[in-house]
Amino acid sequence: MSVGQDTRGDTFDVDDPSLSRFDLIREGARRDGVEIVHYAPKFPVRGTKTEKRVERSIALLLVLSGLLAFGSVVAYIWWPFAYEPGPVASKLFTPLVGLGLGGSLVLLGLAIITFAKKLLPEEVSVQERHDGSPRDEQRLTGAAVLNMVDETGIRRRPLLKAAILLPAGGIGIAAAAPLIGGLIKDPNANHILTRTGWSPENNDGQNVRLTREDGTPIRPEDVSVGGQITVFPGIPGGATNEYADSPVLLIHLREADAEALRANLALAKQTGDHPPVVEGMWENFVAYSKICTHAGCPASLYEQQTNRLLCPCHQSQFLITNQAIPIFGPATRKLPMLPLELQDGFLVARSDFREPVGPAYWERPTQLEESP
Amino acid sequence: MSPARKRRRIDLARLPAATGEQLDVRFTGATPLRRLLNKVFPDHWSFMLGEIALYSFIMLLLTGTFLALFFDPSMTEVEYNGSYTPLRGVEMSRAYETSLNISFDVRGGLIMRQMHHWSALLFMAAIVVHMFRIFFTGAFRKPREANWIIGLLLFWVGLFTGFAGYGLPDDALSGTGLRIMSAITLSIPVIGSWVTTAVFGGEFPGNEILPRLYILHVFLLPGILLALIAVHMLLLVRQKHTQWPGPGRTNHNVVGVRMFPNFAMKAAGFSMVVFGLISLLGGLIQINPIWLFGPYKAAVVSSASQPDWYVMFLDGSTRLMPPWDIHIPLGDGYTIPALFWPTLVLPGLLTMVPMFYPFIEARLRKDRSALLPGARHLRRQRRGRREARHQPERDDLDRPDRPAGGPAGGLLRRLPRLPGSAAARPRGAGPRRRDGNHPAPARRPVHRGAPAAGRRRPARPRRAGLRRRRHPEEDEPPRRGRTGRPWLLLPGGEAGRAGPAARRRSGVTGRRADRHAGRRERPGHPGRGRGDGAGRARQPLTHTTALTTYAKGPASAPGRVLSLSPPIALPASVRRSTSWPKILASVEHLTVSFAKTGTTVEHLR
Repeated sequence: MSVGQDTRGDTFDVDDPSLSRFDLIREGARRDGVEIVHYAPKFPVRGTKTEKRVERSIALLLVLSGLLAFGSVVAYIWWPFAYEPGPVASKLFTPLVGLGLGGSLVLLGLAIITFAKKLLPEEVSVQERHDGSPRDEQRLTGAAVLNMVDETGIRRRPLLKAAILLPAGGIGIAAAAPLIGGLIKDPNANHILTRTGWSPENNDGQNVRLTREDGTPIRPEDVSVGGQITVFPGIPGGATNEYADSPVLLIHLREADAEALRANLALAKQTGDHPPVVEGMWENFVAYSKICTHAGCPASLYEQQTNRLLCPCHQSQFLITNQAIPIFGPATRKLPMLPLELQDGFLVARSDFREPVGPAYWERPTQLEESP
Repeated sequence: MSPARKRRRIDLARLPAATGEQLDVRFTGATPLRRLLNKVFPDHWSFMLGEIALYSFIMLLLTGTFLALFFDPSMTEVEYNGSYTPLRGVEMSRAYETSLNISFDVRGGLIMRQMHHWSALLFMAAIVVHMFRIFFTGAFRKPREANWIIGLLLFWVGLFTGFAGYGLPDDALSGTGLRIMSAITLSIPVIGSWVTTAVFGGEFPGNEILPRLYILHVFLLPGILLALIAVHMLLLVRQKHTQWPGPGRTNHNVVGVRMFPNFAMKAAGFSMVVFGLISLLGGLIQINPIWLFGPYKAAVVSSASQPDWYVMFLDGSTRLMPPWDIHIPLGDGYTIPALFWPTLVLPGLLTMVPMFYPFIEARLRKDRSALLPGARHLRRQRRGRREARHQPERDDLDRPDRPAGGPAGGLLRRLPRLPGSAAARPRGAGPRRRDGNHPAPARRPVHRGAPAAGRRRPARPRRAGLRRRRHPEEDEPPRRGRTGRPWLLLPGGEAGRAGPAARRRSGVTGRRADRHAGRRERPGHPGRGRGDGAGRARQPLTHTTALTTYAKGPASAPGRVLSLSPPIALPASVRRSTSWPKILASVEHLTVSFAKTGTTVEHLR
């Protein structure tokens, strides 16, 4: 585009000593396609009362801003900072520093804006939009761009055209290979998605005990009737995130609820539910996976009165007295039941879960073989 | 420069030349710099929304760099032994430990963390509101489609950056978010389980996800954001702002203040206010108190697990989705989890539909100029329109700003008309041209604004003092802003509101402006410009109106003006219009004829 160099018509001598600074500015703007239509000082008469007042208020804002900034530094250095429980002075450290810093910045901003609005000359300028290059310019550029392809003559050299595809594709794949290859892990190896910490494989073939977070095993009498407890596989690291699929909610049902669950299980077995019903209760104890079948959050809010488990992430609800089937919310499947048994007076898992725990995926099997 | 001259005192008169010379010698930058300093910005509060996003981003970079000095994204298990007594002795990841250290052991670390979080929320909020502004003012239309798409990408990249940062402290909320993320990747049909193990380096959560999120959060995604913001601003400078309608404002100019001193100073002040508000928020209003949540454990969740606000629409869609797994009874049986639709398909749609919306809308409105040049050419050929060959290609160029059709222009027009609603306005009504500044020649005998038979009523006045006429020969050129909605921003629109505020904005104030207004708004006055023959219009003779008439065509195509009567020598270019007032003062009337359309505009004093 030729804006800026286009000085035809007018002669403007930049060295003319009679020109004011503003004349130069106006001419510069003119060459940039900007017409300064209106540019006038806010206070044509200098030193009026109003102007003085504006100056004073800006100065006040600046002074306050500076004081607050220093106040913030003082608080930062001398205000007690170390954490102590209870309502102590150190709890005010962050608010004080924030108040000083934020207040100072806001006041500085207000001072600058007031300056711009009240003291800078008022201005109306009109700038032309450059609606694009002339048509011949576009034409020339288009030709230059297309020429890049044409000059290679690739169009009339089909052999080269075909041959170039091979290294192009090959190098592309070769460059991507380390990235993708380095990341790939076979989800089917080591039964990542299907095996949890409850598998006897993790425990030298022995059934895995139900333990608390600190690793102590659980006797039936430890859980009162109507009570529940989060349990973890009794293996090394069983309560850590290494076995993030394994947390289980152990519930000691009241007699009536246990009867209801038994009836529902029998009914489901009769109607031939798929996957087959897991008969995992031990007396009035039942254990459900805590990992929501919807998105994997712990479905851990136990509503004792309604016998429901609620997942706080997306509000799915599961009915404890009926195999933990979803009765509300976006979850589609029941929580897997962990088959229980009593060994040496402690609760153990008879086997791993009989279906994959947690959210669904494409090739998710609906049923798992019982591991030996 | 010779040493002798160097020793001289500074010659004030020579200072401009010397400064420019130094700039030019070193950077060949004199002209570009001046052009930048002289860039004109239109003044409207809604232009500040994007600025808020920019300033929040700067704050994010500053506070984030501070946090990175103290944060370690390691998932190694350690025992906490810091200042926060309630958690002493608890096993946790190193990432969570260092997050706690930033909050309790680094002096000023907590305010930095909170400012960082608040900046992120503000960044996303500003982006969203800014996008609404762009959308509802039609500023996404040609030629600004690319910048609209970049803005959309900024939103999504910002969202992912925010989500990655949300996952880093490894508190209970972070981990829950990551767990849901793993469920989402698992739900991808066919490759879901492979993607999940690739992302997490095996089973969830594994030991690699935090270092990976960290490099995304502090390097890759901010780098992309920076690059996108740079291009966003560059395009903005190239294409210039849209502007609200007003006297003297056309599709071809920007009326406002130059970057220096007025705009830059206001922007500096405004950025300080934004920084200050973020500091106040960070200091006074607690956000994400990770020490209350505890370290992430797969079995633990708090009852109010929520993402940051900008992810909540996905959280909501996930909650609302009915429990519909799709089972495919092939082989061992396959599943498309219900989770797939609200968390992957919906965001995909929310990316693709807005991205292509400018083009979809152009198509729905049969706006051929917004299509690709090739497509336009093909269509013409297909129709065999002879006049197409004579249609100068300039037509594409002298409408860089699409007319604002209002919210979702093309789509809304297809909805039933609601009385009094914005959509009720017939398509062909043309803008409210109360300033009456325009010669209003019809470019083509049949314009797109013509009402389809039986579908649209002719325009009717909706406001006292406003007369809207329709005349096939004399209506607004069909391409210009075709909305009368006063609350709408026309991109470079000409549909002027001649209210006092608009006059003030345009700098045309005082008695002169009042006289215009009187002429414009008095029905039946010749100044209304109905004209007495095809393509004749009358205007008051002032600098502004004459300039506007004259500027109807771009300065680079002045051949459009056929003749002037009396044959005075007006400057060849609107750019050199500083001499206009003087020249116009010497004539009593001025008639401008346009070669292309045969229309004439008379200006009478």
